[in-house]
Amino acid sequence: MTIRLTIAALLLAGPVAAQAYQPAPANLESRRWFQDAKLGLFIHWGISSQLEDGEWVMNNRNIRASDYERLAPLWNPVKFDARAWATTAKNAGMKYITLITKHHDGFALWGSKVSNFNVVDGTAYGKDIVRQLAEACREQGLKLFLYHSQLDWRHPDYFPRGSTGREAGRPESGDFNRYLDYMDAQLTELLTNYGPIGGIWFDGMWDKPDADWRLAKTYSLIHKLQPAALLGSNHHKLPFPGEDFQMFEKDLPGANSAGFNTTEISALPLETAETMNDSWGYRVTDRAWKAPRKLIREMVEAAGRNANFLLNVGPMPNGEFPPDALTILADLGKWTGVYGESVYGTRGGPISPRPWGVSTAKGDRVYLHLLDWPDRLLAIGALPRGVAKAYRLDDQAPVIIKALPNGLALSLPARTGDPIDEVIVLELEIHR
Amino acid sequence: MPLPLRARLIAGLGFTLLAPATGLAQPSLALDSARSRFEDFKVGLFIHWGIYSLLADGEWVMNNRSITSAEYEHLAPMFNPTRFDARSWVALARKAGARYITMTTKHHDGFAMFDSKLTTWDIIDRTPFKRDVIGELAAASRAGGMPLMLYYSQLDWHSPDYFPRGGTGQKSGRPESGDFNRYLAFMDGQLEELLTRYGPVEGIWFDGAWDNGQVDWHLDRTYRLIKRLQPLALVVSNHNDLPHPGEDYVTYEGFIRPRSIPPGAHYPSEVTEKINDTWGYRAHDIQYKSPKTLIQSMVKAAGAGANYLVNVGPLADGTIQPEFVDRLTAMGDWLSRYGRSIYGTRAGPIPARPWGVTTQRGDTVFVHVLDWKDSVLALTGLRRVVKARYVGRDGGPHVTGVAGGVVLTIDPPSATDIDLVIELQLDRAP
Repeated sequence: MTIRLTIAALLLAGPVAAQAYQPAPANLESRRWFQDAKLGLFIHWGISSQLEDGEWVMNNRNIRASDYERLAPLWNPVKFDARAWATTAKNAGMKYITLITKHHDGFALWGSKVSNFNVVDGTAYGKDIVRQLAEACREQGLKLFLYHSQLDWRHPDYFPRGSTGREAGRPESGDFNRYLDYMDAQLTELLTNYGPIGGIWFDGMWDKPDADWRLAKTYSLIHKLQPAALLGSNHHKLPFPGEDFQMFEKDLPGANSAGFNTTEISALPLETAETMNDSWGYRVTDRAWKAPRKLIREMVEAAGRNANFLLNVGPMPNGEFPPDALTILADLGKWTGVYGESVYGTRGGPISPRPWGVSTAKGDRVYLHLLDWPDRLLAIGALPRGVAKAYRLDDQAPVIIKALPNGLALSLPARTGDPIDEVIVLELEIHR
Repeated sequence: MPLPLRARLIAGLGFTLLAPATGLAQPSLALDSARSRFEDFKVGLFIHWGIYSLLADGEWVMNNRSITSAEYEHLAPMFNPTRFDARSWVALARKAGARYITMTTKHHDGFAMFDSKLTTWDIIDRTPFKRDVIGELAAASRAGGMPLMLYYSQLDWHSPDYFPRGGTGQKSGRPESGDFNRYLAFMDGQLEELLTRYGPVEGIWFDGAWDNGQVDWHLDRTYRLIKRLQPLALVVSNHNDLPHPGEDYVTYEGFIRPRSIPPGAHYPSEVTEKINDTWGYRAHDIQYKSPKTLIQSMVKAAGAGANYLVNVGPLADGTIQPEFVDRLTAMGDWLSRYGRSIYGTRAGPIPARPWGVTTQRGDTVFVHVLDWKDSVLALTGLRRVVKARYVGRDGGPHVTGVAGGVVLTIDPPSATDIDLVIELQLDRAP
């Protein structure tokens, strides 16, 4: 029975046939920190930003790799200010930044020694973006996560090709293992030259899901170089052995409105990645900016499902954030300044998502997030312990609790207007 | 969509239908009672059927594929729906729990599904079938006690006199001239045919005036004609807005209540809904809504006081596809058990809430719990509940009075439950 289960587990694990992954104590500590952090800023930026048409522009317009390379020398983001980015993130309430180090176009935002197709050697700008942001994050007490695309539309050894990057004009031959060596070398640079890294955020394996990606080798390399770094991969499946968190692209955990997400939720820390408009990389014509209210409510929905919220910005080619993004981030900062305690350091609360909203919890406190409840009377199911004190978070207005045989009736204080999220604090009786 | 005349007609219109400013539809006890009877129906069956059904690509196929009027005329001789049986349609409506049928007599393609003497562009003159579908359905409806509303498209992609053209039907290859008033006279003539030959009908369901904002539709004249011929026939128009003078209720495509309706205003109303994503038959549209979704939409409509008009697009041979029949049967089964919480009700005392809706009949309030996982449910504002019991099964919730309302202790619904219906008897107001 045991043997059969083990074989089944190995088969289920997909391409990775590693022995059971044992995360280091420092890694487990990072996972707790990550779950406490709740809010991160995703940054999609690179030479693709110059075309102002999203980070997939090379593929979408069938630009050949040799033509695409001409974009690199043109890039001179003179307004890039790592400290400004980090400060903006921190003021918005972000606890970490996840930066593109290399997207599918293969361009490196750091001074890589294994390829000249990088910001230091290949552009007019000539300075190391990753280094500057790593230092600025350290100054601001933010952790830095590094997005890295496993998929590469430019490298000739990314062969056989997957479902994208087929019109890049590359030779019909190549050595995929040599490509993986190159990727491991770039990851080694990132994990040795920039101080402690929060984690690696992989993307692109979905391009050829059946290839042998040598995940066991790459993953053990990462865990060896930085045991505390968290490893996640946006392959839209349940996490493979060696991964430390599970992300959901443009969906809450368990939902699949995007059409490519798994609805299965692992026991690992969770993260929802979301765009401010409809694009990841800067797109000048994308005017579909979401209302701050909508994004804040989605973050709360994520927290109630025990997930972090990784909100993306696509900086403009010159290195500045788009004005609409700055407005959203400022509003987010105002909200977290008042309501942050109901999110940071919490886990999904004792009441799973309900039609009225979600709950979070921290210590003896339960936070009810009333996202859709216009009435002043709300009944909820029984809590594990009695309620010692109940009030609304922002104005401390008392909430009157009446115990029922199967739950609690809450008489809520009057309110004016339509709040983004009416947060009710329930302080539970302390165990004696 | 452009809404012709809207600004002009809304001016001077009060927020009640009972005192229309223009005096077009003279308020009368009999008409009030007809509107009220219509509100009691709560469920209707919409039928979109015409020669477009042959192409199995929806009722807009002529416009969407830029088929010219001359080309489109080739369809009529192909239309021979030998399996059409009006009585089976009425029986299906009954099985679905519907209390009325709304049938397309002429859609935007201009083709009359009845014997019109004013044109040969009709089912008698142009098809080998040569049977008056509207006549047969009217007879079967009468025999089955099923009121019949007649859908009529004001927009016409076939008539050359529909000129100047509006936003659609531009590629139909018609001459760049025409007499719109002659078209209106033709339309009024066809309406007179419909209202004089087929006995009493429930009313006329207009569609398509939104197509053309640069013409005078003379709505008052047409609406007055209808009331003259059948004083109790209801008039409604699918413009998704406040009622124009002379209209008896409002109808909305796929949503409950538009923002344009002021809070507190009451109109008899109707929500139309497709079972998949198309009104007329479309072979590749397999986006069928689940029975649960359809029933919950019906309940939500009732909670807003609206009738629910659910649509089928029969095939070109006159049959109705099994996917539709199955879902309508599921609706009818549900209604046979819970119907008394729907039929004859009005919107309940509690507006739509995240957990569901309420309906009401006299001192009885029906609580429809559509989405709730807990065993306690607070109802704000309700007091003096003297009795509470489940509809469709034994027992009832425990009621606890609290400040501001009551809390019901219920058997929490499971994820697959459609609607936990609770009947509350309120103490008669002093």
